[in-house]
Amino acid sequence: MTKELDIIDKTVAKKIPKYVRPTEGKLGSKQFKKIKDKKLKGKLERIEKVSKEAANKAARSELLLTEEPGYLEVEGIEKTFNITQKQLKDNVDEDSTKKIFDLKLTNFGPYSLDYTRNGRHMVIGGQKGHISSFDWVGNKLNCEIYVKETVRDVKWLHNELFFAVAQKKYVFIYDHNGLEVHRLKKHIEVNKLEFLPYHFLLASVGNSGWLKYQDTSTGQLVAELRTKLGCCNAMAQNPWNAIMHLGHSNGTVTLWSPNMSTPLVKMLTHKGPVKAVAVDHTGKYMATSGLDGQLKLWDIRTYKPLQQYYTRSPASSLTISQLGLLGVGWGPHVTIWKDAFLKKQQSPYMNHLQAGTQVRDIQFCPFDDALGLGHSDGVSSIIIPGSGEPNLDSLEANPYQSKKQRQEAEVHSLLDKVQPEMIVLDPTFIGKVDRASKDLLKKELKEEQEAQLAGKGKLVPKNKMRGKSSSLKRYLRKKQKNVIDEQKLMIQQRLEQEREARKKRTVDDNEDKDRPKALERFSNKKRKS
Amino acid sequence: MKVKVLSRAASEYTRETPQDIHKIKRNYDPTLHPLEKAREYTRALNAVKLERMFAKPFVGALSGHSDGVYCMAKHPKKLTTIVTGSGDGELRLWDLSNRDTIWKVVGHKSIVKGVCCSPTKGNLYFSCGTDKTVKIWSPDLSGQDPLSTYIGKFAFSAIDHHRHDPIFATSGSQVDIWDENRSDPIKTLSWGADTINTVRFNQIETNILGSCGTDRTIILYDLRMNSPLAKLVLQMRTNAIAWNPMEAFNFTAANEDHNCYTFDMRKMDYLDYSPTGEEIVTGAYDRTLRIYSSRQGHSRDIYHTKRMQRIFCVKFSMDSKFVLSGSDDGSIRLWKAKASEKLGPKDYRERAHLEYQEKLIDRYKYLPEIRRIAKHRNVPKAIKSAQNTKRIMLQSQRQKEDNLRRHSKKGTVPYQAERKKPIVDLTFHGKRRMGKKKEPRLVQHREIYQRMNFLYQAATLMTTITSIKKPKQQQPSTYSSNSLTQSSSVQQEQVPSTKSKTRITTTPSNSNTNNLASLGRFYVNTMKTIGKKQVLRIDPSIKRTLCKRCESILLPGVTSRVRIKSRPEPCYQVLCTECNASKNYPTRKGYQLFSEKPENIFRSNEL
Repeated sequence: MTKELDIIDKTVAKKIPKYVRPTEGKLGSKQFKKIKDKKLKGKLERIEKVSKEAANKAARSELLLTEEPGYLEVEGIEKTFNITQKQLKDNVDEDSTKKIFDLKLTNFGPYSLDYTRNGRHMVIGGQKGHISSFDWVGNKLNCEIYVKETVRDVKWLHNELFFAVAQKKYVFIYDHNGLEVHRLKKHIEVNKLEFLPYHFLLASVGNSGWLKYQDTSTGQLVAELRTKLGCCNAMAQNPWNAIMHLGHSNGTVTLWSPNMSTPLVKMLTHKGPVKAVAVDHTGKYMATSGLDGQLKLWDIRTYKPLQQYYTRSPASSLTISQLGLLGVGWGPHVTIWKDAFLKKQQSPYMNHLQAGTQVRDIQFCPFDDALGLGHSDGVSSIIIPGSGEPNLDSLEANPYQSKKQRQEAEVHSLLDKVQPEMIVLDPTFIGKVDRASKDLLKKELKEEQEAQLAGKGKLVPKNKMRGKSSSLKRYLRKKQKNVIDEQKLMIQQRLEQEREARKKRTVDDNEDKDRPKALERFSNKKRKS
Repeated sequence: MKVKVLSRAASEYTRETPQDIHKIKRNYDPTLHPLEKAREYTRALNAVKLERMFAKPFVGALSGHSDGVYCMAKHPKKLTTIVTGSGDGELRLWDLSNRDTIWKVVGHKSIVKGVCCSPTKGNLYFSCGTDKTVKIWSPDLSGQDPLSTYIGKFAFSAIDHHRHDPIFATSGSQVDIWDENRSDPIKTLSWGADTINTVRFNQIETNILGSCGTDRTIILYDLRMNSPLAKLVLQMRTNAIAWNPMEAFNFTAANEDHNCYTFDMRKMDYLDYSPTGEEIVTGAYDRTLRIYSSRQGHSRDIYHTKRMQRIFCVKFSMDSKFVLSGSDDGSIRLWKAKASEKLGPKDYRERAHLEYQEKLIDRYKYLPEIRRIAKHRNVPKAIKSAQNTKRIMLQSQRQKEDNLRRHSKKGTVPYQAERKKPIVDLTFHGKRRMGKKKEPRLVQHREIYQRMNFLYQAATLMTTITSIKKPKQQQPSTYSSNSLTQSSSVQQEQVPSTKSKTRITTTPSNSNTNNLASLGRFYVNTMKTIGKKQVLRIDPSIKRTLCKRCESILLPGVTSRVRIKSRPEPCYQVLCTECNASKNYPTRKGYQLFSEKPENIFRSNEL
């Protein structure tokens, strides 16, 4: 019995580092000894203890996780990338076979699609105007509408009740019945949509190259940022810090937050236009593909490339699953790479051919081993074992939530809505001690104060021309311009005289200024005369 | 080929019947909870806002007294019983749950200064007043009549009962210890002060009691000893003291300088405050009630209402959930100790939620926005302005001290610990522990003396200039009896006088010299006026060189004539040549001036 406990302890100890938050557990015993203030020391020790205990307990609670991730293993000379969906279908359980399906919608393609955060619902938008949302697990249709205009992108909002559609000119928001709720007039000719669920921000970017953030809870347009890089077709959000990644036609990827009018980071990624961008949900890795036929993987903590692959035709769509699988859609193919970020892979994990079509959009389904692909002939779903997170957190995203739970969650998420000002590159900055040097802090403080003063501004008197409106001028102003009579000439003359007198007066004043009056009495009178 | 695909059974994740609770699965993997810091901060911000929104501390008022409520006592055994005494001599017993008077009596002829409850005998109350009586009341046994009345020699100011013995203490011009069954005090304690404001028994170390007097002292007594334990003198008067009911050695004193000081009885160090052990409540003349955490220097909360007047008594309820205040306006107010606390029962989830909120606020309390909201209190304009005034006052004091330190020799003005500042003097078991050493007294009113000195010298100069024409010149020795500094300065003054001689000789005129002489008289007059206004005595040796009538300087041979006389008694006579006023000064053997007599020398610093 004790042996078993020992084994458990060891396994728990291995898992602890995963749960230690980046700011905590940093003070070593040496640093503790340096602290002179007893009260502070005690407080810090207590905090340290609590955070350690929390990590330990969280690691221990892994025992309670019931589900195991999916996998695909082969023996001998078999290769995983040769296994087709048909073979898989024969080998998986009855329930999972339902995840492989094809929706043949040849008239309205190509399609873009989106899953809700809990992976339960799906919305698809055909370029020629077909929009449909449905519960793809329960096979229940929510709505199906035809908008008779171009649909470029679809996106779920915070839950399955609303979704946004980027149409020919504007962005529209529909509810679960397909009723048009809002027309967002400020978002014009949008190509890509993203939704930040914790900030309730809908971000859009389009032909004009403006990145716009709209708060969907209050309706306010939070930020309009001009990228100055032209039409943008590739956008992805970093779920870890809510930063937007835009891929541009000059081969750069720019990182944006709504608080800065300029990009936070600008990376040159490709030699040609960037076709697709994807960021993984831990916020560590980014994948980009370009028209130069490259697929590049980046570490966005250091902004350095990790791996690059050659694609036979430019990858049109990229996606990264919860467990770190990279999906690449190119031509009629979908290729899945495993552990692609950690090591250069020689062969893909899985392959899929959607014969006779062009893949437009691919998405991994959260909390499930499925991949949805929108292509020119409709929408398909395939199984990718080991792609989805097996253990869900009901309070974060729950595919099995009831109506009441959904309502409750909506209220809570609105209460906990994070303000857009808090979108920064490092999301753990809150409550941290600013460890910048004293000089720097002082300088920053000074700058801030100066900025504040500048905001208030010194009182610059408006040029109101007060008192200049003399009766003479008024006469001239009111009379017709082109009529010149005797009186008018006289008045003009008098005005001219006055002007000269004024000029003379100011000149005299200036001359007087040259002499220091207080010291005059000491000056040599002869020289003065 | 081995393949496994995620396939969840819906029954694992959903409840079976609507009567069940929802199944909640948790996964604490940090990557599944992005932006947790930002979300938690938002929650903390909401929590602190809600806390301020729900902060409605006033529960109710107990009205009935027709005069101000000046004393109050809670029953140590009954949660809902309090006794109050009013300015018109009325006593009332209250039931807090019904906010109702149970029993009332006009017990004293004038103001009731103190009430207390007997902790052992259920329904027994004590009161004392300025009518020099202590009365014992039992509403059950004797109804409207006191059980017994003890008559003292002086007006009483406070009363407190021993924790378990049938002993109580009263204060007035001295502290008396009474037995419940005896009509005379069994012990009398005094040390210095003529009036004692308060007397309080320690609730744990039950034989110790503390009192504070009008002479700025706090005195601790032990009933087992014959002499007082300790005496502490503060900068200003202490109005009330309270013993910490959990830490026997700590007590807090409410001082006239707007502060509360907590002392450790063993060391007499100045700490902070506490009545239920954790928190302290104070009522003040500024019509507010403040609640302090016992370990923090600033109040946690401040309560006030429009109608509440100056507060004379405050009490925590025995469950520390409520605060009672009695004020000048004659009503007793009931407040929540925690302003935003919800009264009544709370279910488990609500309690957990509230605890979580509290923890969140605590965790993010240092962040500026949260600190700002948590600290914000709307206070009446008068208090706001008083705070500002006080701040400015303290700042200027600090500034002054700083300046003094900067301009004096290094180390002569040491920094003083903020905790020791209010303590003037401390005697402990008869030994002096703390307090300032007697420093050699510096010259007080130095600048005034200097000014007078200057005027005197100027007057002398004026007189000498007038006499320059005359061949005789005064000698410095004639009036050098005063001090070295003066004579030397006079010699310096003579240098310019030689200059002036040349100037005067060029334009010799009688009127000019007369003017100068009158100027000298004017200077003397000014000097005397200053001395009178500042109540500074002029030393006789100087005073005798001034004419009493015409106030001119008497220079022997110049403006005065000196004769020695032997009749009717040995003396010398000084005759002012200006006004012919003469004065005799005795010179007999053994004659001493009043100020020279050793018994009258108590101030050595005179001009």
